[in-house]
Amino acid sequence: MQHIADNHDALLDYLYDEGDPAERIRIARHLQECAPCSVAVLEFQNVRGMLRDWTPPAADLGFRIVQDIDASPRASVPQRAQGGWWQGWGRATHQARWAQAAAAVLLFAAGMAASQLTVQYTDGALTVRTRPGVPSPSVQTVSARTASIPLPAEHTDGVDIDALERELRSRMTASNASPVDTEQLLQRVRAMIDQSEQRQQRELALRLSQVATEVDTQHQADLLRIQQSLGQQQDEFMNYLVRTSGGTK
Amino acid sequence: MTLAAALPMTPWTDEELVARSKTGDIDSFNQLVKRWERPIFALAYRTLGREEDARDVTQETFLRAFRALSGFKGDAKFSSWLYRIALNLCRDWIRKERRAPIVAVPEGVDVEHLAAERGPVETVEDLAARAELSREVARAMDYLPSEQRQAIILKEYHGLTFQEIADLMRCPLSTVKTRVYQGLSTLRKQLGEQMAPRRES
Repeated sequence: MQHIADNHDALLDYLYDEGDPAERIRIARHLQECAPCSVAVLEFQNVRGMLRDWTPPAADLGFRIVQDIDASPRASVPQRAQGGWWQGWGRATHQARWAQAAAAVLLFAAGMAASQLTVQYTDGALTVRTRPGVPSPSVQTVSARTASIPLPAEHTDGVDIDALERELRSRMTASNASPVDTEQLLQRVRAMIDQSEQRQQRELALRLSQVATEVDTQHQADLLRIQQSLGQQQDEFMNYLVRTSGGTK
Repeated sequence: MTLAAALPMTPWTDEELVARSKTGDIDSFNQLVKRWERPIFALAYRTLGREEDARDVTQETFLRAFRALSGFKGDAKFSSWLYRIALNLCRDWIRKERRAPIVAVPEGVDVEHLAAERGPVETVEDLAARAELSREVARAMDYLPSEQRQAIILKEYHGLTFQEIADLMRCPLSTVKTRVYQGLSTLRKQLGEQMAPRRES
């Protein structure tokens, strides 16, 4: 067999585990018999091992495309993480304070819904309670039996966003806002809530994916350590062979 | 629909996120940014050698990708498309700056940074040795022509196959292999002094 040190294609395929598997097996057998080729392969493997130590700095990136509220998304530019997705929203400084307050209330309500809290609004007073934990089977049975019985509004579990919207709408109407502005604002707030919920779902999914990636990375690192350990032993053995054979190439 | 019911069991693929982004869903595109910003930054950093330059190129890469997304037909992988944009930007950056790609010891490769990712049995001496080795590698890479350096970076740090690199760099497969081989041979010589103590240890 031709020396692998003289056959660059075969050497690279062997080093990077590409190409024909049968050819790689032939090369492995050749390496067991040919000290010069073994040394050449080991040197290239050592170079690759050293390359792995070249790490980029742990820069804080966090680029994001942000949407300007008055412009098409395609005209917007990426911003650093410091700005965040709310930048575009923050630019709308011409909006009245009550509009931003209304958005905050609705976002708060959406957060309550996601965090399993109960919000009741009665007689002008806002009451927030944590929802009970997982109900016992007996409680579930009772709930199922009474599910069809209409309950008073103040006893409804969870957040009734529609009720809050009606409340906000009436308050905004009372503050002399035009109906068109009110409608646009509510639409925008609803869109924000939808986006917020979607984003939470996606981020959770991404975190799950990152955990899986980290596990895989650790697995790869373990394999690499084992491989390097084996490589060192092979190296020592080859040195021994070279020494005992009088250092011939 | 409840949050749990809406939660996908697996994350969206690049292709799915690209399709959603094309409909104007900026959040989906930002998911792609989040997924790929670090590999693109690493590619730019190892090509250009300076953190600030790499950061700018990374940002410009995603901006260009976002603007050109409607023209992305999906013939290649999204990541390959991003890599190509980034490599072209790096090439333009080097031409514009009229300087060697790597002109200085890499920034940010210090013991503190390495300590964050050290293994449980790694001593401070090991960390210092790794930092020094990292600088040696950066210096050795500086000797390589940009085509060889890019081929090795794509192969070693991004795990592309030789054929994928050939497609990305728009050159024959044999050319890529030659570049990688020549680059590794040069590194073997440049890093020779480092290899002896490592082998002894």
